[in-house]
Amino acid sequence: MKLQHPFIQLPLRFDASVLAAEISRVDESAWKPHPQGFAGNSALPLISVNGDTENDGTVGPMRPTPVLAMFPYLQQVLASFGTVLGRSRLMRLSGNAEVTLHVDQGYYWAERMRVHVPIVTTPGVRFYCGDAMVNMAAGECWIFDTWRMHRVLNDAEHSRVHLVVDTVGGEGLWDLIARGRPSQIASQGWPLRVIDYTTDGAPSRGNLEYETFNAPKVMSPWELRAHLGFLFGESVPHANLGAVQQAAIVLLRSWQSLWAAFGDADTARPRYRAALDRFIEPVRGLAAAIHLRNGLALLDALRSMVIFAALASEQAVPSLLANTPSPVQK
Amino acid sequence: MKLQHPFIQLPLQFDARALAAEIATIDATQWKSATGAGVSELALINPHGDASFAGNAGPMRSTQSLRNLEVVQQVLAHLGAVLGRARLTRWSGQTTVNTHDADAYYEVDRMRIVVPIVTAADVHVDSGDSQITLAAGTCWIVDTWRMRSEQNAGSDACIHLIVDSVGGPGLWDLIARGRPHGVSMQGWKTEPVMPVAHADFGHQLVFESVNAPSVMTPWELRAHLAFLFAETLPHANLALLSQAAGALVSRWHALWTAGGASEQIRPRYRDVLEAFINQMRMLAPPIRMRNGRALISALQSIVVDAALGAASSIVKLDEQTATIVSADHLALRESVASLHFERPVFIVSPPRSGSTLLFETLSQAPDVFTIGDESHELIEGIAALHPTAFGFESNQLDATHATDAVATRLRGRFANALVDREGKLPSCNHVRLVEKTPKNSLRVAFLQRVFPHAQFIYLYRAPQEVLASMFEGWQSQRFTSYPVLPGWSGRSWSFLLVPGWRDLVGKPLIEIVAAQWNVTTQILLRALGALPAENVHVLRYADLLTAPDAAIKNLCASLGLRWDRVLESQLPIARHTLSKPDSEKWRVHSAAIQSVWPAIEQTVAEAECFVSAHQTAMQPSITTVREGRQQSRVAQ
Repeated sequence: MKLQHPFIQLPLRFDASVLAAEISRVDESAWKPHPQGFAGNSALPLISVNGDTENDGTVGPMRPTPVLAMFPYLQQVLASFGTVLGRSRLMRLSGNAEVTLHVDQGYYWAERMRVHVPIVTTPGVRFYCGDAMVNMAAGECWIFDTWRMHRVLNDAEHSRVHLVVDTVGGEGLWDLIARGRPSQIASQGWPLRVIDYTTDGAPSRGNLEYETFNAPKVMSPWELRAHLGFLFGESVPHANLGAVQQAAIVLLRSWQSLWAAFGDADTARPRYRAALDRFIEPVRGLAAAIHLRNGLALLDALRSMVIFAALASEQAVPSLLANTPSPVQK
Repeated sequence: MKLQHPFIQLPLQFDARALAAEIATIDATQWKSATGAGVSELALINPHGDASFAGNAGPMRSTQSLRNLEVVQQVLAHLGAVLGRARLTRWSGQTTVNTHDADAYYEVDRMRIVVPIVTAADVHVDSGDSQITLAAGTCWIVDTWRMRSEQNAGSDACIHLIVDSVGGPGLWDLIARGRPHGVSMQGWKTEPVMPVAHADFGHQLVFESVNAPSVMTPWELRAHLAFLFAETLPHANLALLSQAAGALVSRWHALWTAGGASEQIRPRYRDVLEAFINQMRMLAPPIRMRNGRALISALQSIVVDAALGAASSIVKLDEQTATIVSADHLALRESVASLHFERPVFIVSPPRSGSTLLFETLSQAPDVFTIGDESHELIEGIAALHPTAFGFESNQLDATHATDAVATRLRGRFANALVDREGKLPSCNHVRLVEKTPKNSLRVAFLQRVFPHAQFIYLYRAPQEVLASMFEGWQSQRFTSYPVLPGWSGRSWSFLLVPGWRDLVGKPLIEIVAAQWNVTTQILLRALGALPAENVHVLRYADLLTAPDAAIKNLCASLGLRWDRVLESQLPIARHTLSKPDSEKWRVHSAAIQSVWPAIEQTVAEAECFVSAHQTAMQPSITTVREGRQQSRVAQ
């Protein structure tokens, strides 16, 4: 999600050594290589689609994987965010490796914040985002602007492990952000809350709220308009922009008419698909020449945030059938 | 829908005579009278195709009337639109109809198509800056966002076909080839559409099926709020209000992601919406939009009423009460039907009379249920009962406000909030409610109607003590009730809003407070005096302080409440206390109180009389002659 600042530290501090000890109990086989095969990057799923460790997608109810139960303190850490928990993992970057420069583009990340808690790290790990760079210390808690270009360099010999949580937000988290510290502001005298592991009180698992709806069967016309509007707002002025926007208006009108007539009924899917095709075919070439302020190509962003997301894929539909709230009256 | 031009003519010319002839065959009984004198309507496309449905929620389908009107169906088919609600509207001669936010939610996303069928040169549509006459058979898109009136200055009735639609491929094409009124376009002309006999246009019609979500998506919510805020005129309250709107959207999004439109999560949406409603009530009233409408009414209709499908759960026109009943209300009615408020008890008094102390004490009775706190939101949360419904006239409510629908809904809201002294919910059908909210001193007749056999406890505290405490309460600004009160200046209005408050603008605080006490006590005494004596109980605050055990035992006995506690000689300090109880602390303000005493003297005497009369009748063991002497001595 686009933020006002590249990095914001949240006023929480955790005991990284306790977290590190907890996660060290898990077998190496639980770690998965990066889906796109980036060297030195691996992940351990904590919250994933239906709690399935083999599914690192972003469509479907997010639930704890079996391994989360092994980490009581980590669950307390998650609870302390006060937020609706989306996909969450331990992310490991080997020594002398990097997460190459990229933007988290995609429907899922357009409206989600990414929370980082370094568990195992060294001062040599550098996190770049936009013009800023931070070294996140173990036990600290940060969010960063995933819409800006960012990369991570681990110059040390040892791996770096972070808890990484994607979330749309929640009361607790917004309050933490309001009391957060942008990285460019000195931390002198800035108040932090320390969250140590505790065995008192109710089991923390009961306090965790998980994401259930993160992908529509058919996007509502208002959502479609929101994403298109956002992308056009982010576009660097270009001669082609007018034509692409005009085509988008036609798409939105068709979408609104279809929605009024059919809602997200399965029978209407071919019509929605046709409307998307009518939109993208003529503007493909035009959009490819337009860039967003963060460096992304408009065409790529349109594809990932609009074309692929406006209509759930046929394979995904059965799993969404039971989940997606339907607007059609009973 | 807001359009770029108030009127856009589409390039179609329908055969008005054929339409008029067809419409003339309709039985007169099918025309129903609509809002406004001299206006009647015939439903053509309505929720579920049922002409008796009110509102705009539900799949829109042909009514039986439309199925018999071939020429009208042909017109509809030619529009190439997804058809929402459609009707024939008839105005008699010499009638003007001013548009109002009938259902701003439905209209904000829909275009209104108008085809005059029977009309005359003196039928005008007025949209503020332009007034036009629409010729018979022409076809127009009309901007419903601008304030409008339709005027039939002639002597004969006129009839228009009106259709609401989000759009459609055919319609968008017609609009693209349309002509805004007042714009001359060389060579622009309409295409005649000749009626075709015995063609089945009914099958070509595409109807709206989705128009009222049970839970609005966060993106729709955001879109409506963004639109409304873009339409407002500048105002100092906007920054805070838009912040509140932003918070609403974020919370809504989080809830949507967590639970979508599931039943279990609906209460959380409601809470989030209530928080926004509170901010809206405080900040929005003075804000207007460019089209002249008040922001608050648009927010109410387009956001608050629609966000949780109030529209979608509209079931039917309730035959008995002739009000629109929502499914929510029906559900409440069922639960309330089984919960009976037996002689509910309302503590009434001016503010700062010790009612919280009495309330907290009585709440300890074993059979008593309370809503835990004052009932501001329970009562004012019903739009018809909030001061904004009366132009901020006051908090006063009388029996006429207690319509069946309101009364049912209010009892339901109380029923849903009840807990006993241990925080438990009612486990049986009969409950003894105890409630206290100083504003209810202005609502005795109203409460009597909503809660038959209601019992009222008039808690009387020495007026000099009350005035002093109200004075300090205003100064502390801890008891502000309407921080944004249009027309009020100075310290934010505190405590109940009394009738005639506008006369107090600019007056010294002691006079405001004295008037507040005076008006409240007058209204209260009159209302209590009109009740059967057995429903009225009095208690002197001084007795509650000096002999609490006896006072409460007596009170419970007369209310028929069990009492199983023993009270210490000094009660614990109540919440809302400003300073430690001390019967002489009012003297700090004695000069100020003395200055206003003449204005309230008469009322003091009446109140004293009332209390003594009731005490003699009901609480012989508590009569304190000493106290009586103290009152009549006045501030020295």
